[in-house]
Amino acid sequence: MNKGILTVFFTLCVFIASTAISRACDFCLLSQGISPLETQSGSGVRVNERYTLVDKAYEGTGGFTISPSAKEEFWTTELTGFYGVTENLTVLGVVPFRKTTLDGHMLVHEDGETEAHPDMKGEETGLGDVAAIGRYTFFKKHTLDSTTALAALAGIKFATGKTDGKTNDGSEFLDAHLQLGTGSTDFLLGLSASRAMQRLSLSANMLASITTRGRAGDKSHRFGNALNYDLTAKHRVYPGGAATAGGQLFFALGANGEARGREKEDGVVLKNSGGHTVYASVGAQLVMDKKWVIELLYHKAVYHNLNGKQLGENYKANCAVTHLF
Amino acid sequence: MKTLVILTALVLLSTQCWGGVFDKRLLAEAGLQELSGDAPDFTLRGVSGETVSLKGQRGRVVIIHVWATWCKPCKDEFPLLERLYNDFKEKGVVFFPVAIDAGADIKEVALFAKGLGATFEVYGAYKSDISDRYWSWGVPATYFVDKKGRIIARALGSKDWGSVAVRRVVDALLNTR
Repeated sequence: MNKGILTVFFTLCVFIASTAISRACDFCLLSQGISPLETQSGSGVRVNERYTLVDKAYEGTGGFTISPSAKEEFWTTELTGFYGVTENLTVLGVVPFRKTTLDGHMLVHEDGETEAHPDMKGEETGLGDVAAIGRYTFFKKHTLDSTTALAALAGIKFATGKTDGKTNDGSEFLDAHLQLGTGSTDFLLGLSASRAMQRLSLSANMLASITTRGRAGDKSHRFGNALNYDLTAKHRVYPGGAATAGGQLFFALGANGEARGREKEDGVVLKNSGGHTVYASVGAQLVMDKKWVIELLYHKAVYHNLNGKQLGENYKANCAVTHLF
Repeated sequence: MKTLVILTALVLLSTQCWGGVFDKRLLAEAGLQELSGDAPDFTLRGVSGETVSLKGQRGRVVIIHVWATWCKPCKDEFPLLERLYNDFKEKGVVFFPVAIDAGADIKEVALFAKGLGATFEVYGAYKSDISDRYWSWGVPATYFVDKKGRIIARALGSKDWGSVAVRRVVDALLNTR
């Protein structure tokens, strides 16, 4: 699934021409699990719960607080079904249900001035943007103590999520990143490499999102194209020797990030949008009887290099349960 | 045209006489992972105390089956493995069932296997160099070695050892020079 997307914030106040952007469209294929694009065959279903907190603004690489009490929260429950059409071809369908909350508005104007509206609240709940993805493993090599696989991925994210959510008082449309969907049909292209060496496995993934123009509130909006990447090492801590059909416990460490282009609103480029965010991730994965997989994962944003001034993510937490048929 | 037909027939005939090339498509049909390269040598000690090595089996097809007494899927597939062993033991297939139970007394492991209906001799990985050379992500794991000592394929996890596809693989290995 697609990975963390930077967030675009824009002007809540209609009277202010161009305000600042940040973004939190959290359709994040690469932040869904320990190694979400890890070459995986077979069929199954996965339920993933993700929480994202945005409570700070950034200017370049430096962070600052606009309002100590204001925050934006994103809860996403993602239902993913995957089906192995052949040994090397897997199709995935992703259905996200989102809850976005605005608890005090942190505003960055186009000229870089900031202001806070602690009383401004908003909440949207419902279906997000559904995606269909195909993954093809085009290279696989086994040796006695290693397996290497390379896979390519292509998909489409559809504009199924609502984009006209308003603040609680009904006076303003919520920012684009607080809407349930992006309002655009986006294209996904990715590459995945994995190498398992005895109890250690490494995976590296890249996913490009090519966006199109959508809507947010009463304006046209286009999120910037994005490149998400992830590098994860996973070590089986139990059992130490050969494993049988019983439980297995893995510990994972990783780094992932997103580089995103600037956004456009009504055709105008928003200078306080886009940039690069890097996360450090730590997680655990429990495999039970080879049919059930439970994952916990925490991503901490450790580096922001955002264009202009804008809000940026603080951390993301994931919990997922997968059932393999 | 007639010459071409005769030449083709001769080639096919010679292939039959001298043994053909192993058809790797059979591995996919049997759900086995293809491996390549020389199979690392190892030595094992059986219940009788006699030492055997992989190197000493040149000219024969070898099936190495890694299992453990605590592994339920391993126990479940024993009857089919026994059948595979009985069907191919006279045809030149050597079977090395290797238990990886740490510190286990091989005599107790042999009794355990006998209790599951096994008539083949079992070996222990304990104090053998096989564990280092045949890493397994789990048990059961089964490896196929051809007559030239090359490792051809692997099965990770349980398999239907009574399936036609698996038997085709073993037959093809026997018929490959």
